[in-house]
Amino acid sequence: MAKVLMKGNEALAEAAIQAGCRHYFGYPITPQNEVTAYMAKRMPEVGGVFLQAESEVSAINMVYGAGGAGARVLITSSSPGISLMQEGISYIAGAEVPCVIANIMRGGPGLGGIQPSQSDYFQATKGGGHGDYKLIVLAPSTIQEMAELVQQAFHIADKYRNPVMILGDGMLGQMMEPVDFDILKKEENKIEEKPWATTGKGTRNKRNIINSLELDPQILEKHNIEIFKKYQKAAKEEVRYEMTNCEEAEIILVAYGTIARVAKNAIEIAKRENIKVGLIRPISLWPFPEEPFKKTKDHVKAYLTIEMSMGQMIEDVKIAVNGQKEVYFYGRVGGMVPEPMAILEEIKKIRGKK
Amino acid sequence: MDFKRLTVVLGHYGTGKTEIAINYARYIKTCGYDVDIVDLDIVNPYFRPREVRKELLDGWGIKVIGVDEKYMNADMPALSRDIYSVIQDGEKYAVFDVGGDDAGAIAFGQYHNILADKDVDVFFVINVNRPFTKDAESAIKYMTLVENAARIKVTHLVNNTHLSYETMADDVIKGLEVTEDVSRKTGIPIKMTAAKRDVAEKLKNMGYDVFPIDLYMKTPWNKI
Repeated sequence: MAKVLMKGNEALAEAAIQAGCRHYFGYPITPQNEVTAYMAKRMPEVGGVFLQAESEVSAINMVYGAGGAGARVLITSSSPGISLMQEGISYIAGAEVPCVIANIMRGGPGLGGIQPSQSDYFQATKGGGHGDYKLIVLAPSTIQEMAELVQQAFHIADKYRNPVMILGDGMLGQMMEPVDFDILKKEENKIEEKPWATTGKGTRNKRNIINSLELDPQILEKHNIEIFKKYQKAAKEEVRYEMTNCEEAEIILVAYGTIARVAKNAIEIAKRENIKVGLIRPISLWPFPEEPFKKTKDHVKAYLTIEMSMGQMIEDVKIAVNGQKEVYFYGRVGGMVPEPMAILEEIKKIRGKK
Repeated sequence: MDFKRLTVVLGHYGTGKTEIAINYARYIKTCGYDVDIVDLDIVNPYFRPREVRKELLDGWGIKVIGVDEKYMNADMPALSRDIYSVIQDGEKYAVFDVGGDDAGAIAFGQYHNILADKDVDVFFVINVNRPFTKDAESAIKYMTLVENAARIKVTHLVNNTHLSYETMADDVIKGLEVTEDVSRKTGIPIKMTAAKRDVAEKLKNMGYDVFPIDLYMKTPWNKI
């Protein structure tokens, strides 16, 4: 199969199916409904389960069950729906169950609107639910990358027995681009044995139990420490980022997802005016890539973080830069998208500063 | 190309119905007729004609009939009451941009009674680069689904096979072969083969009218 034209939401769904996902639970919400619609059509074709739950709370607990039984399972929603799922996500992380969750973000807070946004960065990367846990968070910027990262997400989820989140804005879900499924890495789609899964006692000596309850404080502390050892490993092995024109850049933009594409436009316009601007695009939002900042903070004048939020990722940028250079922010919210010319204006303002 | 007073544009998601509808309305306008675009898309939250209503009105004098602007982003499947006046007005031309798939076409179905005695062309737009309409069989299956939901029969096929900004002349040619196959199997004639303007200029001797398209539905990084 050569390139096909797909909506981001459709590519997300198809990539999951090709990664061996045969269980999808969801509840409709704009702007991610095409995932649900696609799964309703495709899952019966591949002998999988599509189930529209009565609510997001219910859907995430179905994911908990299916993941616990060893299935590759996907759930998708948009901002308010993801908020509803937080209790279940915390349970899933606590019980060490792999699953893939996609948040196709819209504007908030509250019901907000249906236009694109990136204002769930904190919720995704800082633990949206209770307790000490992390999600590994991947942020695609193109539809092709959406397909790639969804497949990697299933692999990573199994590897760490932990939920992985795909974080995209509504635009990424709704826009259409060519995508080639043939070039994706197939080894990630191999599902390894899951001896911990609740698939019946069989010949095992002991029953497998999936649970997040632990009443003995010593054991619960040990459990937390064990989980964090996984996160330390993930922090080393799962860092992903892209650097563009950073070597000689005077100012480096930091942006993820579709906004990185707007930032690239701004870089091109700046080049015409002989202003050297680079881009750091974090692909894994947790673990947040610190390496590209180490590589650039000696020669750069300042960093400019661009987001469709009031300033969330900027906190991780500041941690990575560690006070050694100025970090500025430009953002639009509520469904408004930063424009290249506005970014250029911000760049000029920073250049004018001492 | 000849056209009727009312044109209905149907098809699978991503076939380019909206771009066809807008550009076809521009064509009718250029021929000297007063024309509206009816935005019947109740399934897509973004990339709809209502988003370029100002551009079309100021630049072309084409009005977009859709929900009131203040409800433009309401997550509700609302349709404008003005749609009835467009259909009943014997003078006014209109192009209907119907939402994708059978889900989107259902909204249009409610007008089938008052359309029965009107002068209507119904286009089914084909893009064989879309996975669910990649060959004649699947395209015909989709067309039947959409026809049933819209409660109207397709009168013409339109080949609009594309890969967004990566479209090449070969895509259009490949699409036309499938569209011809659909035409042979259903007896429905081909109205035109469409392509974005730079590709359309390269297409010669296609045997059908080549309809050049200027793109309106753009992502923020494609606007400059």
